[in-house]
Amino acid sequence: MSSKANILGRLKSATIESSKNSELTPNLTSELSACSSTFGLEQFQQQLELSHAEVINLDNPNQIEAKLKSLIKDNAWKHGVWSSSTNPSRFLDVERQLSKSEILRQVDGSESKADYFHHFDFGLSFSEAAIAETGTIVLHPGTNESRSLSLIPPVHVVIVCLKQLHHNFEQFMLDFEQQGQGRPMPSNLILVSGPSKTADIQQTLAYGAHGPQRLIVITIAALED
Amino acid sequence: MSQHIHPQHFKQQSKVALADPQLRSSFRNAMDYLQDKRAQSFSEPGSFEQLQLRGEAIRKRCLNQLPELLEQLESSCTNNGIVVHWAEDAQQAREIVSGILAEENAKTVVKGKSMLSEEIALNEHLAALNIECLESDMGEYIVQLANEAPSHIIMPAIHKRKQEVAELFAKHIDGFEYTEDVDSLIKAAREVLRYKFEHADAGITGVNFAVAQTGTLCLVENEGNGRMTSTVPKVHIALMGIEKVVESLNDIPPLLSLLTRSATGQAITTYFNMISSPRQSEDNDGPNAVHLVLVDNGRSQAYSDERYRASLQCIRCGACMNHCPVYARVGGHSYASVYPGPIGKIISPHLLGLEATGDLVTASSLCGACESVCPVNIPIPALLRELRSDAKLPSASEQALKGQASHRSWLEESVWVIFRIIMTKPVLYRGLSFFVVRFSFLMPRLPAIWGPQRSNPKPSTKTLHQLMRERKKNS
Amino acid sequence: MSAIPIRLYPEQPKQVYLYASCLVDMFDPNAGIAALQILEAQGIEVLWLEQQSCCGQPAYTSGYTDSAMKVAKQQFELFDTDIPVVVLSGSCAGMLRKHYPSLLEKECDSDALAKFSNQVFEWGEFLLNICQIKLLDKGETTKAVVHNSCSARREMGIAETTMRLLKQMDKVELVEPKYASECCGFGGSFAKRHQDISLAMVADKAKHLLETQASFLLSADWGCLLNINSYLEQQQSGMRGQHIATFIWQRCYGGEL
Repeated sequence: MSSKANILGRLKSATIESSKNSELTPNLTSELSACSSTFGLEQFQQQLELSHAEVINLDNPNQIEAKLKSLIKDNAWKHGVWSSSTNPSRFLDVERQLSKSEILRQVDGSESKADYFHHFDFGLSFSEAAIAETGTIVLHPGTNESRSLSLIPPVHVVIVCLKQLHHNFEQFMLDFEQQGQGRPMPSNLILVSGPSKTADIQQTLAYGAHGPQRLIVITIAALED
Repeated sequence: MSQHIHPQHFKQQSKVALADPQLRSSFRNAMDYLQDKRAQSFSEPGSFEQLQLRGEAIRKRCLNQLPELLEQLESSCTNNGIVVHWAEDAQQAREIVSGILAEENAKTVVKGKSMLSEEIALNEHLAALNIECLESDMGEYIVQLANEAPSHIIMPAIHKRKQEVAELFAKHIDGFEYTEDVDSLIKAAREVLRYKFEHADAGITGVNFAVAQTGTLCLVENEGNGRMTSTVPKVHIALMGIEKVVESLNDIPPLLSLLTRSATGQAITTYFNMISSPRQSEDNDGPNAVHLVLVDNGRSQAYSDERYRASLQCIRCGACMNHCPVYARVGGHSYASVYPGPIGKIISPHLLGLEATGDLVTASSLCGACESVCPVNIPIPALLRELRSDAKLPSASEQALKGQASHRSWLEESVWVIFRIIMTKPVLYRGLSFFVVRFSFLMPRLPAIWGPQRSNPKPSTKTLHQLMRERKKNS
Repeated sequence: MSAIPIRLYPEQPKQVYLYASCLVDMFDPNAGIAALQILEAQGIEVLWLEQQSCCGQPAYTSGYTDSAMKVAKQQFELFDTDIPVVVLSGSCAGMLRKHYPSLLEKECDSDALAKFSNQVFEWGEFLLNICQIKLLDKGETTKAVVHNSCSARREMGIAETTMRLLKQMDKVELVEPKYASECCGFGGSFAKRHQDISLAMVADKAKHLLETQASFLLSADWGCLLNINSYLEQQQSGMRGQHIATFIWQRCYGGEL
């Protein structure tokens, strides 16, 4: 008998009257809208800042270029890596500018581990979804984006479109499931709610434990669909 | 790792811990901090109870269909390209992991936080095979340097002060300039560990939840070491207790919210990492292979007993230990079981048998603080009572818990038989209680019943039964 | 335990049973008399069962389920009239109300058990919620600290009830100790089997109680008091805990017992 068969055999033979338990299962979505109060950018920003992220609000995509330039200059960043949005039409102009930049390199899968660990000062990506209640951005590495980009360089800059602000994680999950009906899950889907941190030494909070020390979130209000 | 200590020596170990004022204050401060954080995150009245109800219902529903969900998980993972392995016990689990590492010719391994890997004593096993297995969670890294076991399931180095951490780093990290500044300490460890992430051949992590329908492994963390471990090396091995499977993606949000709020009072952790496959052809990075090891190791035993199945609802938040007056005083190491505190007391018997853990199940005043904060409503005091009862069963029954009946003592049993006889015979009870109060002046001279720092309780000079009789006579 | 269901209280009955607990019987019978007299002052006839001994909790929590069950059965069968059972301890009330139904499941009729469970009230809970008692404080201005047992707090959900009852005495300032909700370390056989841990707990508890500088230590549970008082006595502290019934009787009903 295989281990699998043995384990499943033991579990299946352990039939317990479960009538009591099944009565307990409530409709999961019924209280969805009832659980929180304020919605939107304010909460999103507030929560992110509570988690030590830096939030920059821009009115329109045209301002991104100037903002990035000043960030790069102020921080004396020399090398960055960026990934395009999975919805390029939205950020076409921005992406055109980014691809012209001398210090930014677009992800194409040829980056080495060493590049991420030692070369790039920051990673720049676009977020397709965000969650207001917890101040969370959703990353979807895959064709355009690498997992390493938002993880290994010391700073992660992420551009978030406000049209995609979800109320809470639960609502995001429902929307995500509905949109992706039938399609398999991406290899990796990540929720990020601030820079890397730890309180493992005497409950003292320290940032930049393993991942980025800084998370810079740029939100753009006036994006048309 | 701390081979000398064993749950059987809980009493001696806790005595040592109780006498260590520094350790006591480390734990007290940490518990105060964590209790406070949790309370703040559930400050809205009713918010905890509402979420708890859902969490409990999800866990119960998923456990009720556990074998089916495990099969579904295996098939979803396999479809996604994740290789699934099954381990009945710790030894099988260890051998599966070392087998994968041998196949991949992996010599250095980084590990994200995984209590299950502690449970199966993986590090020792790999060390014996000359495979370096480095803990990458900051707390785990610290206790590994100290050659200790974690003292808390969420905050492994909760017993260490920053001075001790600084001393450890000075001893083990080349070029470390002594400092007690926490930011600098973390930076020093970060540098060491980033080098390891970059060069490790394989990464090992635990799993917080696995989704059967989609074949998704979920990792909850703040530091990013879990992401590093599951992203950078070419192989990712995920270890998971069989009870952690849930049905659908929609089961995740309430459980995640309960987990992070109960554990550290966070609305969400920095990272919530959902892994559904190894690197696909269109992906830019990620491991080429992902393995999932499903580990039983006593869980099916707990599953088969109607009473103990509830212990499998646990989502490993640690709130029970954070609120336990015993844990706060004896610390995590006294238990000498991988899982300390109240939850450890009820799951360790299934891992180690009741013979080894008999003193753990009695080391509770049944105050119920653990149960009152459990996010999935596990009736911990009731289960402790059942375990106490099982430890004293007259004979091993068919579906025996390992070590059942092991704590039977003829003397103790006689005490309770006498108790029963006295209490069920009113005349005898009244006679005896009369005797007790009649000779109450002797009490201080009897041997100290609960140690020298508490006087023996002194009975009154008359019983209430006597007073009531007098009252009746007078009226 | 998740939220304790809100309890609906009946009208004040004409008769009740008084269940004193073995600890009050042997260690503080005057509290029993005080409790009884206060009930009588509400116009209630109090029935005293001579055959009452112990609820069986010590055996039950120690894992001697069979002994506990036999004691519980003998006690349960004493209450043959469907009237409230007023218990002088949150912990024993919890045993009767919450544990008898499952413990005696195989031995006794489940309807009778359910009915019984529903009739079990802790003494202070009964006075406040059923008798709607109004205490008239005749004592001097003073300061008191209250220790609620874990069973009262988490099993019966009546810690607040006890506080509300005591707050009616307007000349008594109630002070909250640090770590008020933490266990005193009694836990029946736990205090003996794991003396060192229990001692660490009671030492902290006593410290926090003494820090309040209250003149009185009150509790509705003699289990906790047995433990706390034994520690206070050995430390030669001036503080000594007493049952709330004694305190209320002395302040509101006139004097000594």
